[in-house]
Amino acid sequence: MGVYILRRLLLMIPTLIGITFVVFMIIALAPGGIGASLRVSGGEMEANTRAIREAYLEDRYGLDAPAPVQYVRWLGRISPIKFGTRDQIDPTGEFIRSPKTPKEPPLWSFFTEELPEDAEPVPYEFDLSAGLTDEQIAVQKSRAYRRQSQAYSQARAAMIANKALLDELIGRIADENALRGIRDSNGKIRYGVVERNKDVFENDARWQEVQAQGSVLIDAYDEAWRQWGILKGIFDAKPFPEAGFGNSWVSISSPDFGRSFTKSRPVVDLISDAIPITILLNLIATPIIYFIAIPCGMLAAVRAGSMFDRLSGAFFIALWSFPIPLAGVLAIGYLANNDYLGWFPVSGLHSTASEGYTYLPSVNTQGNWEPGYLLDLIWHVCLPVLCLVYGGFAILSKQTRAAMLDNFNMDYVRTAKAKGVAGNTIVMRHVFRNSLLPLITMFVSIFPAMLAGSVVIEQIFTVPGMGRLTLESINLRDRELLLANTLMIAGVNLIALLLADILYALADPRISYK
Amino acid sequence: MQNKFGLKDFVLLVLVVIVMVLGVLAMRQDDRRWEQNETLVAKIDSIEQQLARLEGKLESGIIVSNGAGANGSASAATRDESWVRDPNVEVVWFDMPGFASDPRDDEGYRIGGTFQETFEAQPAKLTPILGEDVYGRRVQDQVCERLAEFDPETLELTGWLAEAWQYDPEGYWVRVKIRDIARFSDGQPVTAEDVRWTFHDYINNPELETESLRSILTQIEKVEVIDDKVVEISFNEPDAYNLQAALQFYILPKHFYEKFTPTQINQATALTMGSGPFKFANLNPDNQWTPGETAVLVRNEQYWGPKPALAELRFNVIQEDVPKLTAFTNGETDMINPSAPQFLEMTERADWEERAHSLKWLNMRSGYLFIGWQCGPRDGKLTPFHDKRVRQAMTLNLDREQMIRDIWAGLDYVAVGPNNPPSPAANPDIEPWPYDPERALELLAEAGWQDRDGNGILENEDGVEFEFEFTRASGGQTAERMQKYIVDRCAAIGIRCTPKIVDWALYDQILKNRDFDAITLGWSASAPESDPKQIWHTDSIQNQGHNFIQWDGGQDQYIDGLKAELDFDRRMKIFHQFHSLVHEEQPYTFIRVVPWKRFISKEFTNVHPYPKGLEQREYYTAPMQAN
Repeated sequence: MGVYILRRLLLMIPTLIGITFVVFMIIALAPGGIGASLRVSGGEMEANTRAIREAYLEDRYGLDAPAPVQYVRWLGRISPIKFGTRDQIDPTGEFIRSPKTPKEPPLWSFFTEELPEDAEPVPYEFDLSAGLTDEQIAVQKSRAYRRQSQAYSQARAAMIANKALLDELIGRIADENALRGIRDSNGKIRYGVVERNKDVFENDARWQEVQAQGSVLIDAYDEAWRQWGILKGIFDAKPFPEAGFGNSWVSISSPDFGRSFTKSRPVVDLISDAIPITILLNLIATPIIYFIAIPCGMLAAVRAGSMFDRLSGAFFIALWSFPIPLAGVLAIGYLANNDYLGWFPVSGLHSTASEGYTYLPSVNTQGNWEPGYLLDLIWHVCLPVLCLVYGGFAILSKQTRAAMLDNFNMDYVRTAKAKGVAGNTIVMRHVFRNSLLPLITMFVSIFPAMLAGSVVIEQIFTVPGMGRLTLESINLRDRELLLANTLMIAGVNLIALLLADILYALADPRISYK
Repeated sequence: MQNKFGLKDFVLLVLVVIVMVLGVLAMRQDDRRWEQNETLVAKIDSIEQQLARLEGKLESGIIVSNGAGANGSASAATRDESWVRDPNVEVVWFDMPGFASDPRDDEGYRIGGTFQETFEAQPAKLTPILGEDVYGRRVQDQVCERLAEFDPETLELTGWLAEAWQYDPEGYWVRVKIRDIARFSDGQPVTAEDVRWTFHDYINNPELETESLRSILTQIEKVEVIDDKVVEISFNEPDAYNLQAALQFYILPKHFYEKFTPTQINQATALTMGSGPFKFANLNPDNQWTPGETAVLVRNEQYWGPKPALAELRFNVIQEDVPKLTAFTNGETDMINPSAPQFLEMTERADWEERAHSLKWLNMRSGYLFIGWQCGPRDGKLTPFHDKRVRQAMTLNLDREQMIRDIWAGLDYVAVGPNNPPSPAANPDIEPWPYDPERALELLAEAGWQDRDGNGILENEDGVEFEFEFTRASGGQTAERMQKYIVDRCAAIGIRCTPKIVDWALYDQILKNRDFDAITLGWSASAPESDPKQIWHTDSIQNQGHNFIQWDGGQDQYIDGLKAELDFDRRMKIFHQFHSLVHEEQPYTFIRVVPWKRFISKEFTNVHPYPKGLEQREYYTAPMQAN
C-alpha cells in the first residue's frame, strides 16, 4: 500500500506539469496572448510613450520572452528544489533574487563594432565595524541594497526607453519606405527583417538620427551593466538572510508563486483571500445536500415504487434541471426584494451594522436584540447556499437509492431476513453500510469542486470566491494567477482521486493494491 | 441483535461534548475581544471629537484673518508675493476652497451619517496612482488631493492645495505656493518637499508600478523645492496642456510612504493617505482593505478645508443589474449606476420621486461612441471611405435618434463631434448631420457609386460592388442590435455590409495593423479639454498611433495650433474650428454621448449633478419627513 501511494504521488508531478503546460499554452496562443489586458490602453498616450510603457511592463514581468520560456521560468520558481544562486529574504518576507542582467540591444552591429563588455560584479563589503548593533547593521545592509537596486532600475529603465525610441524611429522609416512585414502580430519590430533590409535604412534621410539614437542606446546599455555590476556585488555580499537551505549549486526552499501582474499582488494572498469564502459556502451547502438527499434516497429504496419514491425522484430531477442563473435572479427578485418578501440581504457577506456586533447573538446596551456577527454572516449566505444546494439532491439521492436496491437483492439480506433480524436493523446495519462505496466516490468528486468554486453563483451574488478569481485570471490572461489556480485545482483533483482509491481499499477488503 | 451503548460510544460522546464546549468557549473568547474592541473604539472616538473641537476653535481664528485679507481690493497688497520668480508676471490667487452648493446654512443641516455607494466592477487596489481604474480613482479622490482641481460648475482649473501660482507666459515653468493651512490627515503640513517627492520619488521611481502616469507626465522636466511652501515645476517645452498636467497629480505624504519598501507599496491594496476630506481608518499594511470587502472611509476630522457632513463613506461592489437595483430599493445601498432600462422603468413609477434622486446628465467625463471609417489604405488598398462624400453619406444614412431610441432606450444624446457639451471645446454652432438617405444616395452618386447593373448593389465605374466589413467587439446585446441596424440601413441604399465580430483582446491588434474598413469603439474623456493630438494628428497615423482610421484632412494646423496657444479663449476658438473640420470631413460617424445615470437615496439631500461629476462632500442626511 505504502509503495502504491508513493508511486501515485510521484506520478502526480509529471501529470501536474502536463496539465499546467497545456492550459498555459492554450491561453498563450489565444489572440493577444499572455498579458493582453496590460496592452490595452486609452487614446491619451502618444504612440511612443505607449510603447515605452509597454516595454517597461514587459521587462518587469518577462512578457517579452517566448511562451515556453515563460512557462519554464515559472516552473523554476515554484519548484522547491532550486539550482544556482540562492534567493534572499528581506525582513518584509519578499524574495530578493539575483539581479537580472541587461538585455543585449537589438541591431547593435549597426552602430558599433563590438558591444561593451559585460561588467563583472564589483566586490562589496559592508561596514561591520564594532559598535554597531545587529539592527543597525541590518538597516545599513538593506539601505545599501535598496539604493543600488533603485539606481539599477533607473539605468535599466533608461535603456528600455531608448530601445523603444529606436524602435519607433525604425518603424517610422519602414512605414515611409513601405517596408512590409516589419512587425509581428503584436506590433513588435522584427529585427531580422530590419537587418536584411539595412540598405533601406542607410539610404533614408534619417539614418543619422538612427545612428545617434543607436549610440545613445549602446551607452545606456553600458551604464546598465555598470550599475548591474555594483548591485550584483552588493547582492553577493548577502545583505539579507538566504532562503531555504543548501549550497550555491542546489538548494531547497519554499515555492514562490509570484504575483499577479494585473492585480500586482502575491498570488498566494489572492487565493487565500478567496478560498475561505468558497469553503464557507460549501461547508454549509454540502452537509445540507447530504442530510436531505441520503435519507430520501434510502426511504425511496425501502419503499421502491411507492408514491414517495416517484414524487421525490421527480421533484429532485425538476430542481436539478432548473438553471442556476435564473434561480439566482428569481431568488434576489422575490426573496430579497423588500417590495416582495425581502427576507434576505441582496449581496455581500456582512451588513453595515455588523462591525459593532458581538460574535454571538446578544442584547446591546440599548436593550435591543442583536443577531451578532455569526448569525449575520449565515443570514447573508442563505441565498447563495440555497442556489448551491438545490441542484445537488437529485444525483446523490438517486445514487443512494440505486446502491441500496442492489444490496436489497443480495443473498445476505435474504439470510438476515430469514434469521429474523428486524427490518430497520437490516436497512441500517447491512444494506446501508454496503451501499456506502458509491457515496465515498461521490464525496471525493465533490471535494475538488468545493475549492474551484461556483462561477455563476459567485457572479450573481457578488461573492469574491475562487470561481470568480479563476474566471478573472482567464479573462485578463494573468499568467501567475492562472497557473497557480490551475495547479491548485489540478492538484486537489489528483489528491482526491488518490484518496478515493485508498478509501475504496479501506471500505472494501476485496480491493488491494499489490 | 440489540444496539448496546458500549465504551466506544461513550468515549465518542465525551469527545463530542468536549469539542462543543471548546467551541462555545472560543466564541465567548471572541465575544470578549469584541467588547474590548468596542470600548477602545469608543475611546478613540471621544478623543477624535475632542481634537475636532479644539481644531474648530483654532481654525475659526485662521478663517477670520483670511476673511479680512480677502475683503475688498486691498487684498492683493496684503498678499505676500516675495516668493514669485518674475515680478512682472501676473500671479493668480485663489480663495479658500469651499462648496459648490454650500449646505452649511441650510435648515436641517446635520453632521453624521453613512453614505454607501455601489460600484459595478471590483477595483483591484485603492493605493493612489497605482490603482488606476475608474472606481479606484473615485475612492482616492475622497482621500487624496491635488494642487488644483476643476471647478465643479465652470470646469476652470482652480487652486486647491495651491493658494496661488505664477505661470511663465512662455510656458516653461510654473511656480506654485501651497496653502499654509493645508495638512495631511495625520496633521502634518503639506510641503513643497511632498510635491517634489511625489513626482520624483513616487511617480518617477522605476521600482514602483506607476508606469501609466509616468509615461503621460513626460513633459515635466523637474520639480524643485524653492522654500517650505513654494515649489517650481519646469517643462521640457511649452505646451497648452502642461499646466493641467503639472497641477493634476495627487500630492502624497512623503513621511508616510517613505516607511515602506517599493514592494510593499506595489503590493498594497489600500495604502492610501492624503490631505482629503475623508481618510482610511486603517493604514496598517498587514490589515488593509482587500478587494471583495466594503471599503470604508471616515471623515478626516483634521481636514483643513470645508469639512463634509457625512461621517462615513462606504464603497461596495455588485456586478449584476438585478441585485444592484434590489439592493438600492431595499435601502442596502445609497447610490447606484442603473442600467438604461432600469432608469426608465423606475422613474416612471409613481412613488419613485419620493424614494430617490434620479440623475441623468452630461459631464466632463461623458464619453462618446462612434464608427471609425478607414480613410487610408487597408492592406495597401484604399477603401471606399477615403472619399469624404462617402463618409458623409454613411452618416446621413443612419437615423441616430432612432438608434438611440431603439437600441439604447432613448436616454442618450446624438454626439456632435470629438468634444461634446458641457466641454467648452465643443463648437456650439454645430448641428449633427440629419437623417437623409436620399441626400446620401446623391452624395454616393457624386462619388461614383451607382447601381449600374440593376442588381440593387451600388457599383463604381470599374463595376466593383460597394461592400465593406464592419468590425465590432463580441458580447453585448446592444452592440449586436447596432450591427443589425447598420447592416439593414446599408442594404437599404445598396451597400453590402459584412459584420465581423472579434474578441476585445484582439481589438488592439486590429487597430495597430489598421486591419478594418469600419470599426466601432468609444472614447471616454477625463478632463474638460484634452489634447486631440494622439487621436487625430497625422503623426499618429504612422507607427501604430491612435489615428487608426488614417485620416488626413488638413487637421494638423489646428492641432499644432492648440498645443502652442496658452490663452484659454483663443485655444477654444481653434478647438471650434477643428470641430467644424471634423464635422465636415466625418472621419468618424459620431453616434451617441452617454450621460451619467445615478440613483441616489432620498435619505440624503443637497445632491446636485455638476459638469464635473458628483460632490459627495456636500451631501448630508435629510431630516425625516413627518408623516
